[in-house]
Amino acid sequence: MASNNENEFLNQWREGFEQEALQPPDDLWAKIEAELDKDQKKVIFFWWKNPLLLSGIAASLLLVLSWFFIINEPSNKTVGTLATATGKVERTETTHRKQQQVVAMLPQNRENKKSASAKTNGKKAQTSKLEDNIDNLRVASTQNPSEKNKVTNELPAVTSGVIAINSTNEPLIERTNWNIEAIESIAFEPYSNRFTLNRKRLRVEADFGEADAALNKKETLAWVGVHSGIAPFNPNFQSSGLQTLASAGAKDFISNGANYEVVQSVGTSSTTSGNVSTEEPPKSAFKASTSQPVQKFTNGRAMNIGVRYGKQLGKRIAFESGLRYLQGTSSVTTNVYSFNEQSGEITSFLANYLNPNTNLDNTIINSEQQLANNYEFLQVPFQFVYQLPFATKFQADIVAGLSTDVLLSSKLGGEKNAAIFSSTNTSLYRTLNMSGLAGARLNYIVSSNWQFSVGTNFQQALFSTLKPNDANMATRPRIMGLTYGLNYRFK
Amino acid sequence: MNERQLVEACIQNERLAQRKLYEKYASKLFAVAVRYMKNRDDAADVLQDAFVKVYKNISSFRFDCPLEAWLKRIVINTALKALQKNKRMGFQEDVDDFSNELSISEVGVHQLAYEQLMEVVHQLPDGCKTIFNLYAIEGYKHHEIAELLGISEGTSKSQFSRAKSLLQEKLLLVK
Repeated sequence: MASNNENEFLNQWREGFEQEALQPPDDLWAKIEAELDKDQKKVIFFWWKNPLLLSGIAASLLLVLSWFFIINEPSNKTVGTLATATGKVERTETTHRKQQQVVAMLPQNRENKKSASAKTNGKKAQTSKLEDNIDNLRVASTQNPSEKNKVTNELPAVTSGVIAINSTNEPLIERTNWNIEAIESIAFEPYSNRFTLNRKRLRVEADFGEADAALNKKETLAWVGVHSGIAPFNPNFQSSGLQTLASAGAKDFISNGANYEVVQSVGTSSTTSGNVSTEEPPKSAFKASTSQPVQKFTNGRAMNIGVRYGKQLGKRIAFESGLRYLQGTSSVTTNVYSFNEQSGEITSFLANYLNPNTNLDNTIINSEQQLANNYEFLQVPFQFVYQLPFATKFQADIVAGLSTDVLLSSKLGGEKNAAIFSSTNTSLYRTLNMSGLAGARLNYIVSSNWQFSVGTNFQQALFSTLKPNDANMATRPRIMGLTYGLNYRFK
Repeated sequence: MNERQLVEACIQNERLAQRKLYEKYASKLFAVAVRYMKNRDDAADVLQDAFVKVYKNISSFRFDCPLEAWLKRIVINTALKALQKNKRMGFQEDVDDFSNELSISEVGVHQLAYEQLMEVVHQLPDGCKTIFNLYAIEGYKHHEIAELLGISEGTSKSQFSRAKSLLQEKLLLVK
């Protein structure tokens, strides 16, 4: 009964206010409009006066400009310095057929051979090439060919109310018995160009659906996402001793009286398309006077794909980690080979050096060949994210940290020089590596939970991926390019 | 221009659409603000702040509840914040439960005009008035009010009981 009375009481009051409407002051819209205009100016001011945002923009520009610099720099490197190997080789036989073979190995004809040989990376093809040319062994002078390379909550003083309050009824309300306690003051903190109320207890969970989402924006606690990226890949291969070793190996081979024919390239130019006579060479030219081992590294592409997990540590600081797979491709152009005189087994001098499992003792300098040089890494990045919200839907992130990189494999000319799953992993490559990370990204808030990001990232190995070696070789792979991803944010 | 188109235009910050939204809902929302605040000036300030918030956050409106309800909620929250900021809400935690000595039929709310009802409600102390508005008019549950205002559910119930008792007395005087 009491419940019915209360329901009737409530219904009467609700019906009484169901069609409530009062005309607001005439100038209210003008005030709202002025407030909106002021906020727009605040946004512009924020853009140009906020030092954090400016530093973020500057960092992003720096990264972008660096990226352009990287992709525009010459992509080839010739490792080491010029070396000379000389040797006196007696010509034992000259035939017209062999002259033709020499012509076949001339620079202008070499291109055809290169393209054909590039299709076959196996030892068999290389051995065949060796057989074709070994009789015409010559020491060629080369050079670097050009490559393509608010809102205020201050209320005004109370003025006269239009709706009169019956003050004569005051005694009916025994105000003196009312212990009216003050509500604790409300604290605000500036957040971007708005103000967010600190008091959680003002949050209301009612059947108003999205209205709550708008009024009570919750902070992101964590996120998971997928991401990918593409960038130029620079193996950053350096060696100060490889050329000397290659030259010495080739010289030894010749000096030891190998009974092979050497055709001398004539002319002083170091270009690989130098003059080699198609005629029978002059008698005085039967000396290998100049030798220049070539080891040229050409940048390739890096592609990565992975998952990430981020956790909010503070209002603007977050920690992010994850797992990603990175594949980097590059190529090496070389003219130095190692082979076994008896078995005919042959591989590039560099691959032979990098992989102790192959042991080919003889070294020759022959025609240039381009070999694929690929790397695969499994990476676990650990990075801090500094967040700069600058618009309702956009947020800029500055990221920096370290990455633990596990080298899954490294291949040169089809041969694996490093493989994590190999039982006899005696490669010169380190399995566990570490690199530094930095980047900037722009996040677009698609919805309250989904976020799309795009940005630039820079990564470089902190230490050489190669163990210490006689040839002082070191490789510190470097990538800088585009990264993009999709995050789901938990609130 | 239907409601969806109006909202979408407001998301694009089209001033004409913002003006139309204001004109469509301002009178209803102003009445809500007046119910919570002490006077019209305070209510106008609340409405101004509320509309600014609406325009800033309208992109988060997903059309899964009536737009008017969403707008009303924003006005109510803005009014509550203004009241708390000015420390106008006070709740006596240990008030005695006011018994409903008068029967509902004797009160006769339905016999009064809107303006008279508003006048009676305004005679309530701020704390009582706020809880009466939230519980009786808006339809909140006591536990929701407790969470909203940071008070105990018991305080909300006792304040409503007190408001009801005071209103019954005042309605008798009006009659």
